Amino acid sequence: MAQMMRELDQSSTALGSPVKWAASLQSVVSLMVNSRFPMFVAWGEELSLLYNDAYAAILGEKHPRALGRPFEEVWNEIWDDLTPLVESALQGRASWLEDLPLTMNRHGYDEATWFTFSYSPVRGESGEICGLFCACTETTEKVLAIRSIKAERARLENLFEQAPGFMAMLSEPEHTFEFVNKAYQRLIGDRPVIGLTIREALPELVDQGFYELLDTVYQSGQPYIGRQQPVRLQRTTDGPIEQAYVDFIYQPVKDADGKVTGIFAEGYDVTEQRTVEARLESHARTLAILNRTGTELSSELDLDKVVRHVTDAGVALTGAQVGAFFYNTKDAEGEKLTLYHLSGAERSQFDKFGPPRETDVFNPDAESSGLVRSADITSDPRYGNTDPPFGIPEHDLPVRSYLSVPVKSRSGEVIGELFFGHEEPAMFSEAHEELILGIASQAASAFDNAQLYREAEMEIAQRKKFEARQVLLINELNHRVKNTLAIVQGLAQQSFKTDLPTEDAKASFGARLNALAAAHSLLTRQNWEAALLSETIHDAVTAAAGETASRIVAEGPDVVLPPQTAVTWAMAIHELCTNAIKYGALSNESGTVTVRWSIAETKGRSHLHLEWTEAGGPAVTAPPKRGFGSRMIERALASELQGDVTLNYEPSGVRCVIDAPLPQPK
Amino acid sequence: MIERTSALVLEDEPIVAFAVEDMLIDLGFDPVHVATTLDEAYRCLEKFTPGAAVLDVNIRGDRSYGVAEALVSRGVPFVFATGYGEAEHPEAFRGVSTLTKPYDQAQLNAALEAFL
Repeated sequence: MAQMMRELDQSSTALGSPVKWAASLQSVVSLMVNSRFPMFVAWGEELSLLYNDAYAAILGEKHPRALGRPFEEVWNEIWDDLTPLVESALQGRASWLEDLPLTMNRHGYDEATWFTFSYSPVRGESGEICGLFCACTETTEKVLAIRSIKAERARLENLFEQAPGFMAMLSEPEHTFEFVNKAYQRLIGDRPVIGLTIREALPELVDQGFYELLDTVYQSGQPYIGRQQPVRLQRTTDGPIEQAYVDFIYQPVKDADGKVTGIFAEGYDVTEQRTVEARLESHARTLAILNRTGTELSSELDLDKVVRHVTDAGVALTGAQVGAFFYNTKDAEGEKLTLYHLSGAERSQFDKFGPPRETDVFNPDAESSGLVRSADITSDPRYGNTDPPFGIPEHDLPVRSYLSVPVKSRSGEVIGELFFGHEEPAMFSEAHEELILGIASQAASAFDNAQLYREAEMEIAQRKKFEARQVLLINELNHRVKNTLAIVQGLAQQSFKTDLPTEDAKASFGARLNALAAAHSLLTRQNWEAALLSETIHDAVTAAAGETASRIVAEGPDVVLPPQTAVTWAMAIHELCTNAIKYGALSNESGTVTVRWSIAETKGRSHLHLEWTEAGGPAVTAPPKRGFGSRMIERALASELQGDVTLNYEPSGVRCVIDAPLPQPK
Repeated sequence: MIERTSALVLEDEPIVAFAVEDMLIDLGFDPVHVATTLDEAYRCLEKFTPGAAVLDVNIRGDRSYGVAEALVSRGVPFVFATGYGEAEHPEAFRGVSTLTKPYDQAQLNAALEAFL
């Protein structure tokens, strides 16, 4: 360049020969050519341009033609921009400019460029300003780079700002908000948070685990991903804390050294999606319960199970804390409701309140469906007319939300009442009403079916019982007939095994059959349950003695005899009568028989004492051989009574004494 | 032929009991003891062991199977008598001959002969 300047065509520049240049110009040029920083000097009347190699690069295609040419000519395209600066310098004022934009044409086209430079005046031998010196650097690349970064940042910010998901940038270990987008603002109810730490900005998050999560991410440098995470947030200014659900990621932001400097939080508010999902789930569940209950009820004939299915289904469908079924029972005091099945509460919690009365709440209108729904029964005007009211056990079972519906049979009769409760108010909706009405009608038809089935079953059971009793009766009859036949056979066998003539034997047998028949007649009148001793003696005497029975006096207190004992008594008395008629007191016209008995108590047990005394008859002698009669009296009666029987043939008349314990009354 | 020595009759109906007593005497048994209650039957068995026994199944509403067991333990052959048709005896006594009332001496003899 120095060479070039020396060889400048003297005629084409206003500078003249370099050897004749002013000393100041020579020293500036010397400084220039020895510097690698872009510099030039504009000198003389025409402000002829002298520059160094570094500046030649800025000139582009203008070099080398520009060397020694007037400043205005060389930079014609930007002369207007430079004029004020040039004039300032020539008036003695230096200037400095940073990143001045200049549109140059140095490569045959217009080009946006930026320069940082200084203009300073240069004086001649006599101190007058003869030119200006410029040190400059082209900053085009730097300016363009900064511009591009700015644009990129703006673009990103815009992107973040408009993003559908929420975003926030937190810095420092305290998680200070640096940036939040619109979605994030919506999430937190448009609160100003920039510059605040998360604990200051969102105080309601305390004890929800988010502060701790951020601390962990900051310390570990590991991201955290949360799905469908519940969070309680203040979603509106001065509004309540609401339940929301978020999908989110906490991404640690690191510097070049890998050190965590902040956390980028990004995610989506999925509250609505969750609500929809929950609603769908709830619908599906409702349908499943209804379907299951319908199936169960249609095949259920057990009343207890019907009640249980219905109550449990109602609880499941309404989300009630307690469900109950009260049976409508009738007694002398009229209709009342009896707790039958309970779901969700202890039965004892109802016990204290006794059977519910038919309060206005419980029985509001016979014409309508009878359904009662109250958001808060404790402040319901229908409640409180009776005391104590049903359904609000005041301490043990606090119920505010209240839903009840009667279960009516086809005939309109109220079978019972379904009741559902919750301690929180307004838990039951219109939709719940519909469900419960549906359940109640399903229950009603199941009840009707079960009732019919139960009635049919009872009828069958009764018939079976009756048939079994009949079989028993027939067996008993068969047994009794066979036993009687055995007795008749015994009588026959013993009546005919005798030395007496056949005619007499036949007569005895006939008379004994008569006696047996009389005893049976007596027992039949008493349903074969029992007979009185007095009646047994009376009937036996009448059957045996006929007219002469009037000469027999029988006296004594009431003694109840079991059937078999009565038969034995009858047979023994018959034998005594027969003997008296044949040989004893009744064999003449005037003899008498006295039968007296009494009951004595000894050692807590009752004893019977009976005496058969004959008087006024012919003199008595003991028979040479004892026959059926004495066997019947002495052995049969004794063993039947488990007592003592003595038969004495005293000359004044036959005397029979019987002592026996009486069976303990049952 | 069973040894026709002593016999026990358990029958709560006295007239029937006497008839059976007579039949057994006619069939060669001597002595013949008559019991009309279960207690009486047990008391008899305490005093002696009969050569054979006839037990009415139903004694005043109770069953005579206890007496039957006592007889089995003593090796005494016995027959049941009942007014019921086809009485269902307990397993242990299914094989015991059962006379249906009323029965006569020939039937009683045949049942006793069956012990042979």
